[in-house]
Amino acid sequence: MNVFLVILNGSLLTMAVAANALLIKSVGKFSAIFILNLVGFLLIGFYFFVFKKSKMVSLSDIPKYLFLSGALGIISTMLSSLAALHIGTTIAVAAMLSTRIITAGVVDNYGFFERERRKFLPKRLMSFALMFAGILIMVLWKI
Amino acid sequence: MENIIYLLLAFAAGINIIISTSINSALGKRIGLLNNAFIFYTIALASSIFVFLIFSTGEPLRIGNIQKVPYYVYFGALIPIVTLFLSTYAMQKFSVVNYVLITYIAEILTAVIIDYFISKTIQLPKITGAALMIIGLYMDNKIINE
Repeated sequence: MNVFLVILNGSLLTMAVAANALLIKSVGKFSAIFILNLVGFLLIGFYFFVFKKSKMVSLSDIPKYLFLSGALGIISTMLSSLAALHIGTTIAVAAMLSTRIITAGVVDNYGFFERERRKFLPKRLMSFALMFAGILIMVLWKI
Repeated sequence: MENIIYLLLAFAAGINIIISTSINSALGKRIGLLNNAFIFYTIALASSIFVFLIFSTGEPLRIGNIQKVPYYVYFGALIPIVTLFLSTYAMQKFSVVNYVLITYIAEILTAVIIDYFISKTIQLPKITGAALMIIGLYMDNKIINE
């Protein structure tokens, strides 16, 4: 059951990229970003204030850069959907996966953003090479 | 050539996702998941209003020329909310490393299936590439788990 939920989670992430690509085609990229975040905000706001009856916590002691993720999030949404629209979902998702894994490895190696420090294992370069070979095959064929 | 630029955008998106989610989880640890989600969307909405007002001139929505797309496209907006709760729940039940592996494999397989439904043809290079990606992901998981 739990495995199924994880698979569903992964599938939904890709479906969102594909759906957002079509939304961009339909209404335009900046309009799509606005619609997506408006819907998200309304849903979470409703859940937060009406369903959970939560109150906002104090944010005074929190480093300001931690509030950047919302702004970075819209960049991710736009870049991933634009890429999927033009080079297809598979190549876009594969390319994103490769840099996600590498960036996570770098972030963990240095313990950036308060992440637990985990040394980068050089052996991992072999698996990265395999992934890039996969991307290269798709890219040479398509692009 | 233009496609290479979109490929680079996809690479950049991957880097950005990790930075964004790392910052997000650092904030989440301080104020909790729900507060964090609310703040994330407040800032995302504010930023998107800002870019919408400045850059969207001439876009189909602004000039009233929206292209027809299948109705399910609009459900894309609901997905991040669903995955937010789903991933939080699933992460508690799974080791993070295995969670990441299964999620990534599901992502790539779903992409292949979606592309199949769009093109209606089985494209061998794409399947080979996706298979290599999955083998690479699996190998990476084994190396980390060692």
